[in-house]
Amino acid sequence: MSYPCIPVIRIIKIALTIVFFLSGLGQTHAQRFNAGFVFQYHFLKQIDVNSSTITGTFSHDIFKVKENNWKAFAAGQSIVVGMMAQLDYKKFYLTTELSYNLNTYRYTLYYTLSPSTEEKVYFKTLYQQLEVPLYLGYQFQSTNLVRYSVFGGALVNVPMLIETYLDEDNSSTSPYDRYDSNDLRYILYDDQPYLSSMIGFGVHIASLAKVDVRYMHRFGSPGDFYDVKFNTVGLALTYYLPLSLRKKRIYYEE
Amino acid sequence: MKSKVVLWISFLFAGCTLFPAEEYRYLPLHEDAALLRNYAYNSHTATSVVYEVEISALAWYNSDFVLFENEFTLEGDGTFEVLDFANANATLTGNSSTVLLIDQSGSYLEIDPFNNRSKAINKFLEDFVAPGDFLLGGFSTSGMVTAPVEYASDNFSSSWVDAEFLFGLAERTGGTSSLYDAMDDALDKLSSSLKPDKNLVVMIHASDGGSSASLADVITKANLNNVKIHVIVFGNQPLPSEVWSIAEQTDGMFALCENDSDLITVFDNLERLLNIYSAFNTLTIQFTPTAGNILSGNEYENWIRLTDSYSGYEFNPVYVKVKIP
Repeated sequence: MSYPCIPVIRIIKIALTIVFFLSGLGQTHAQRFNAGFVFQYHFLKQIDVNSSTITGTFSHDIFKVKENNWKAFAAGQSIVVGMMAQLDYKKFYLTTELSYNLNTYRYTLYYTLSPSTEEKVYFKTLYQQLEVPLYLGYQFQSTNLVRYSVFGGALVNVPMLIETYLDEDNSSTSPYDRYDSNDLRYILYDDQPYLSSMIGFGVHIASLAKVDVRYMHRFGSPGDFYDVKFNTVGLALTYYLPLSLRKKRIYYEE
Repeated sequence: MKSKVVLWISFLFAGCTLFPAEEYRYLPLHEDAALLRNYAYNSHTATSVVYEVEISALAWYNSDFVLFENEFTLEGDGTFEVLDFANANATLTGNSSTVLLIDQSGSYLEIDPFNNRSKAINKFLEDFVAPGDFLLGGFSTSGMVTAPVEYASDNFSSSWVDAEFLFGLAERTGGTSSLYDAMDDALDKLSSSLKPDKNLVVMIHASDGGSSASLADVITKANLNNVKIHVIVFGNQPLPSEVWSIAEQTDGMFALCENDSDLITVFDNLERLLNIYSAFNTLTIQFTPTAGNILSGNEYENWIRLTDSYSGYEFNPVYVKVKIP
C-alpha cells in the first residue's frame, strides 16, 4: 500500500516565510499586522464513500455503504484551538494559523444478517491533528463596527489517531466480538499528512475579533482503494491581540 | 544497567507480540474445533469391530493441536479400547480444484444470527493461492438462487474476487435443500478439472428436500472422478447419520459444527487442510457393542469427544458411523 507523500515541513516553512515576508512589507505598505487566537467548532460533517460496499481493512467483512449525507453532530465533531497571524493590505488580508484539532468521526455502515435484516455498525474515531491553514480574504461592506469578508485557502493537516471505537444497535452482544474497530483504517483515516481546501465568510468586529463560518474539503482519500470525500462546516472565533494601540487610518475607515 | 537493558528488550519483544501485525485480519470471536479427517474400517470378529480414525483438533488461530490419548473420550452403545494412538501429519501439493457449495435453503437466523458464516467462508476463499483453484456456489430449490447451483463465476479461479456475491447470498436464503442435485452439478464442474486433487466441500444445514439425483448417484460420480466430498454440517440438521456416507465413501472430511464458532474455526483452517499441511491424531479403536453379535450390514454410531486437559475446553463432537461390510 502506498500513500501520497506531502512535504509537510516544506509547506509549513514556505507558509511561514510568506507570512514573515509580508509582515516585513507591513512596516511600509500594509496597513495592519494582527496576531491572535482562534477557536473553532465543527459540527456539520459529511463522509462520502464513492462505493456501494466497503471491505474491512483488518477483517473479512463486507459492509454496505448507505449513508453519505451531511449530518449535524451525528457524523462527528471537531474542536480546534490555535494561534493566528494576519496581514491586512487595503481590502485584502492574508492569514495563517497553527492549530490543534481534536476531532471525532462517526461513520455508519450496514452488515447483512438475513434477507430481511441488516445491522448498523458505527465506526468511530478519535483523532488529533495539527493544522496549518493559509488563506486570503477580501473585506467588503464595512460599517463603523463591523465589516464582512470572504476568504479561501488551503490547509496542511498532520493527523494522529488516538483511538477507534465501535457501536451498534444490538445491545445483547458486544460489537467487538464480531467487528474490528480498526477496519476503516486506510479507508476513512490514516496517519499520513494531507491537504484541504477552505472557503468561508467572516464578520469582523472592529479590530477585536472575527466570527466566521468555514467550509473545508479534504483533497484526496486516506487510502488507495476507495474514493472518499470529507467535507466539514464549522464556526470560528478569532480574538485579535492588541498589538498596536496607536490609531491608524485604515482603508475602510472613511 | 544490565537489568535495565534486559527490561527494555523484554518490553520491545512484548510490544512485538502484543500488537498484531498489519497482515492480521480479524474474524468474529471463535474457539477451537475438531473434525474427522478420515475413517477406515479395519476388521471385525463376532463381538467387536476395529476401525481407525484420523482426527484434527483445530486451533482458533489457524493451527493444529496434537492431543494426548487421555483427552479423547469415546461414546457409543458398547465398550471401547484404543488399540493404537499416534500423531501424524500430511503435506499436500496444493495443486487441487475445489468447489464450495453453500446451502441456501431455509433460514440461518437461529444458528447464525449475525451472519458470521460469510466472514469465515470469505476468509477460506481468500486463503487460496495458485496452483490451487476454486469455485463457489449456493444451492436451494424454490428459493432465491438459481437451481440447482448458482455459481459466483463460470470458471475456476486462484484468486478470490467475488466476495460481494458471497455476502449477497445472506440476502438470498429460502426454499428447500437440493443437496444431491447441487453436488451432482458441482461434480460435473470438477470432472472437467485437470488438477490431480479434486475437492467438493458442502456446507449444509438441512436435509435434502427432494433432489432428482440420489445419494448413491452422487457417490458413484464422485468416485469415478476421484473427487473427495467434505461435509460440514452447520447446526443440528441434517442428522449426521444421513450424510455420513457422503464423506466416508469418498474419503472426505466430516465436521459437525454446532455453532458459528465451530464453523469459523473449520473454515479458518480448511484451505490449509485441503492444500498445504495438517497435523492430526490417529486412533485405532476396538468397539464392542453391548448387545448382539456383529453381522455384515450392521451399523453402529460412535461419538468421539475431545477435551483440552489444560483449559477444560470441550471441542465439538466427532461422529463416526461404523458399518460392517
